[in-house]
Amino acid sequence: MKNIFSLYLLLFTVITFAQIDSTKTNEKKLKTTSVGLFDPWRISINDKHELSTQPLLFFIIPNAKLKYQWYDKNNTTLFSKHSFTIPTLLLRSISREGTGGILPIESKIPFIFTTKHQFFVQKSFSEIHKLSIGFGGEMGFHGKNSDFPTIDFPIIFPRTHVYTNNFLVQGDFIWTIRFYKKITTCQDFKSHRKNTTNSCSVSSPKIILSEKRFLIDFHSTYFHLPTNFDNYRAFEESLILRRETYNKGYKLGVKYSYGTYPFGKGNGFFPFFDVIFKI
Amino acid sequence: MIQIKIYWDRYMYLSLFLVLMACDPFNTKIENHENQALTYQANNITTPSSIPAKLNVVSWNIKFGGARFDFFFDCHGTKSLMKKNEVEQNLKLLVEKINQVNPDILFLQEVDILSKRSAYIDMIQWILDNSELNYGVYASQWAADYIPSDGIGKVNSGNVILSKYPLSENERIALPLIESQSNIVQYFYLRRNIVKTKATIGSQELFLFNTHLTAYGEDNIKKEQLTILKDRIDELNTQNKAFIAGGDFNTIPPSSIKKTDFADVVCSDTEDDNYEGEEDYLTDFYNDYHSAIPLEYYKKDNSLYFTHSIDKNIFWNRKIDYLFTNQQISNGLTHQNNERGGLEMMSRSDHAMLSSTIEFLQQ
Repeated sequence: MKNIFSLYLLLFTVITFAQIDSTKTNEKKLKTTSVGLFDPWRISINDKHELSTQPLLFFIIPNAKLKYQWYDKNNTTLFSKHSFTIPTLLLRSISREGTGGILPIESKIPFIFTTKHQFFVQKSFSEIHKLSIGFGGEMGFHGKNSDFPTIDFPIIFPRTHVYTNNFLVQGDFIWTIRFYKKITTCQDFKSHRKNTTNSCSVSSPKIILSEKRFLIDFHSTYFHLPTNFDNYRAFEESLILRRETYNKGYKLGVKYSYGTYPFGKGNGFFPFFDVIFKI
Repeated sequence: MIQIKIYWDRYMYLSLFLVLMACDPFNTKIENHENQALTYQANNITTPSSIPAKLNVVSWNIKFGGARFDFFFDCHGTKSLMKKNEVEQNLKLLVEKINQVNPDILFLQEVDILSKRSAYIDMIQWILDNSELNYGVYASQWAADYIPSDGIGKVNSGNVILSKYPLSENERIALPLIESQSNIVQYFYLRRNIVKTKATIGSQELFLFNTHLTAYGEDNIKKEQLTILKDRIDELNTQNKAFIAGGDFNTIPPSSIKKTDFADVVCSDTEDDNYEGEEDYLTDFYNDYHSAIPLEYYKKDNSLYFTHSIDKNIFWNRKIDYLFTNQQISNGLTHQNNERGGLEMMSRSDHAMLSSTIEFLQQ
C-alpha cells in the first residue's frame, strides 16, 4: 500500500497544477482566502495581487504563484501569472523499485528549478460570458548529471516536460459562462449569528451577503514541447462545472488530453473533482 | 437573468468521480479493446517461389529485445528501460538468427510493439521488414497506458505469429487471470492469451496457436491455461484439421530430472524455479500429438533440450518452450549454441530458439 502512495502523489500533483485558474484578482468576493483538496491555497493580498501555493505539496514540491493585475477598465482586464516549482524531491520520491516506481530506481535526478510566466487578457461581454486568452512559457533549469526518462502519459507529460528539457510554450483559451443568484442572509446583530433562511426579522435584517454561483468553464490549452529529437504537441480540452456558495465551492469536470508524445499519438479522458473551502 | 436550480451535492460529485475512475483509466483491460488480434504486413512482400514440401517452424521467446541486460525483474540488476540504439542492436542479433533459420512460420513471445522499455520500437514491423516473413498476427498480453512500477511506463507486449503465407481467422483467446492477486496488482498485471490464426499455403490450411503461459503455479492457473489450449487443438484434431501449437509454456516436460532450486534464480519472492507438481501437466500433449523434441529424446539427456536460463552466465538449464502438432514433424532442434544451431545463442535472449520441420503438405 505504501508503494501506491507515489502514484497518487504524482497524480495529485498533476491534478493540482492542472487546475483552472482564470479569474482576475479583484473578482468581487467577501472572502479573500480559499483552499481546496486539489486547488491551491489562494490569498488575495489586495485588488491587484494574489498569492497561491499548494500547501500539502509544498514540502515535496516547493511552489508558489503570484497573480498580478495590470489593467482593469471597460470590462477588459490584463493580468499575468508568475510561478516557480522545485520538483527535485518529488521526482526522487517516485524513483523507486517496485509498485509506485513512476521513474526507474537508476534515475539520476539533479536539483531542478522551473519557472512559468503567463500573460492573460480577459474580456467580460456580459454578466454571463467571459473570455480569457493567455500566452506564456515555462523554463526548467537543471543541475549536472541529469539522466531520467520523461513520463509519457497524457496530462502528465506536458507538465513535467521542462524537468527533462529546457522550455515549453503554452497557450490558453478560456470561456466562462456564469449563472448566479444572490444569496440573502439574515444577520442577527445581537448574537452575531448568520443564517441563510429568508425569514428575517427586524432584529435580524436581511442583507445580501454573497452570490450563489454556477459556472461552466470551457478551457483549451495548447502545449508546444520541443526536445532535441522532436517537437511534441499536446492539447487539452476541459469542461469544468463549478458551484460556488458563501463558504464552499465544488468543481466537477472532465479534461480531454490529446497530442503527440514520444510514443506517437495519444489521448485520454481525466475526471476532475474538487471541494474548495473559503476562509 | 437565467437562474437555474442545482441539486447536486457533494455526494453526487463524489459518486460521479468514483464511477468515472472505476472505468479503465490506464486502459489495461485488453479484453475491452476493439481489435484484440492485430494484423501486420511487411513493407515489401516476398512471395515464396513455390509451395514448399516442408515447413520450417520456429518458436522463440525474444525477451522484448532485451537480450541479456540485467533487468530488475530477474533480480540480477536494476535496469528498466533500454535506449533506442540498444534495442536496435539487440534486434539485429535476433534477426540474424531468424534469417539464418529462415522459418516459414515463426512463433514469438514477449514481443513489444509500443513500450517505453524498448524505446517504442514496433518489433513486429522491424522483424518483418528485415526478414523474409510477410504477415503477422499479434495479441497483447500486457498493455497499459502506464505501469506505475519500476519506471516501466507505457507498455504493449505480447505474442505474435509471423508467416511467409497469408493469415486469416485471427483470434486472441483470453486465458484466466491469477485469482490470488489483489485487484490493483491484477489490474496492472499480464493478461495471458493464445494468439490463433490460420495460414493458407497453396490450397491447404494450417491452424496456428502461439502462447506464453503464466510463470506462476498458484491457483492451478497454469494447468487451467494448458487445458484451454489442449481443448482448442483437440477440437481441430477431431475435425481432421492440421495445427501447430507452441510457445513458452513455462512448465517442464514429464521426466525432467531437475525441478526446482535452479542456480540462476536469485529473486527471493518468486516461484520461477519451482516446477514440482507440474511433472504431468504436458503428458496429454505428448501422448496425443507429435512434439518437436520427442519425449524419448528428452528422457535420454534433458540438457540437450534446455531452452531457458535467467542468468546470462549460466547455460540453458530447463526446457519450457514447445512445439506440438498433429502432422508429421522432424528435425527438432534446440538452438543452444554454435554447435547446436550454428550461431552463438546465449547473448540474444534468455530463451533458446526451438525449430522443427512440418511435413503436412505431403499427406
